[in-house]
Amino acid sequence: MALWFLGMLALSTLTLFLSEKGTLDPVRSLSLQMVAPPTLAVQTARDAVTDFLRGLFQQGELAEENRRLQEEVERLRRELASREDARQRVEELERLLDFKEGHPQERMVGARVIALQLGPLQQVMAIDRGEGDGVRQGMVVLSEGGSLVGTVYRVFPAYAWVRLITDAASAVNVSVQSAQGEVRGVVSGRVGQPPLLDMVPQGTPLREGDLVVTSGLGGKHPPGLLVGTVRSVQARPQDLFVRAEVEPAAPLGRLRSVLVVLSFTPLEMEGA
Amino acid sequence: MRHLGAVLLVIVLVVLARSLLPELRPLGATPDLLLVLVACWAALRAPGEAMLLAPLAGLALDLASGYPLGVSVLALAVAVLVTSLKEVWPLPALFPLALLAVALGTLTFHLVLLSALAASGEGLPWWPALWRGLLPDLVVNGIATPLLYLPLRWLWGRQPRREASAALRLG
Repeated sequence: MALWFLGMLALSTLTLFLSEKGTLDPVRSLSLQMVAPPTLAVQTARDAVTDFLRGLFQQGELAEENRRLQEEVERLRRELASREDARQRVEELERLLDFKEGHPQERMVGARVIALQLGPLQQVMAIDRGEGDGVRQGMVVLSEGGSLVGTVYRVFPAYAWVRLITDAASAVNVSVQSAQGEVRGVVSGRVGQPPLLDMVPQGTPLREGDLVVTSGLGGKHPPGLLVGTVRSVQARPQDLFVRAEVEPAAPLGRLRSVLVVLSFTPLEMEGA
Repeated sequence: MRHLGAVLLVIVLVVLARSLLPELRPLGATPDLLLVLVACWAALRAPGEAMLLAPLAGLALDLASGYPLGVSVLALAVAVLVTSLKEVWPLPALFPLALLAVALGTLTFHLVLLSALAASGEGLPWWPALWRGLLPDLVVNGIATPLLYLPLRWLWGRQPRREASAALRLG
């Protein structure tokens, strides 16, 4: 047993070393390729079961909601028909519904989430797009609704790992739309806790629900991307800065697909 | 045939660990079902089986994760090593041994991962990492242990323990 344990110690040390050097990246890529189909199948099955159970237990509520929505649709249709700019309004709604179409200047690629890891020490996800699709390390990843999800930190030919904004090693320069106008700060991930908004000057009246968006400072993220909303503000007079927890706008634990922004080149990548 | 079953079980648990489990996060932690499985397996069965299962499960788990490769292998190896105590001392019950193996495996995982992250330049503050990371994992893995231990014991009966006791008597 002692000999076996020494062997395991040696195997672990060797793989840690080779993994750090990137020597085992092809093996990692291959393993993701193998895990992706069953993972996606499980996710699809889970969604189907959840929808079925929801339908089963909320049949009455759904019927009522359906009736209410139909009435709403009818009312909206009447309103739209009565306006001369109905067509423009429909186009606007379509743009709001589809972030990708609404941002023709941004070149993006859609990706499916094939593995999710939300441990306290590391919060990352694997996506089924990689170097072959133009994905590079440092690229920004958004939810389907256009909120910031994270950045690509490891790329394989057909897959990539994304570091979420909640990961303890993540930091995003942001601006907060507060009552006093726009203030700058930094949102950092923490171990086992929601991300923290920090470096906001003392005296700034942060309020729960204030919007947090990327500021573009540092050149790692394009400006104006929604990060989340402020919650539980900690403003103590003895502190230099006001702090607050941030509720991420993207549903990080329930993401099925994401968008990788190909057209924005983070500053650290430009020289690469 | 038994080994094929073990391999299939490992694959199923790896897929679950990367698809369904991250959404079920009691106390903010995801149970490490592979660690719990290996610890229970090692406690209930002959050591040789767990010695094969540990590196296989550890590598499979790390390959399908963003962790540095090798972290889980060491954690599972520690769990198996702990369960080898049953060969030295006759124990009245094997469940506490499985629980101890899960606890020490979880501790090893966190310590090795924190060291590996520090070595790669992504070091985290140790005290918050242990307080907010290790503690919930210990509790959640501890809760998951009887959920796997009891069905496995039911599946296998307690034959290995009798074999171990017999071996000890012969020894």
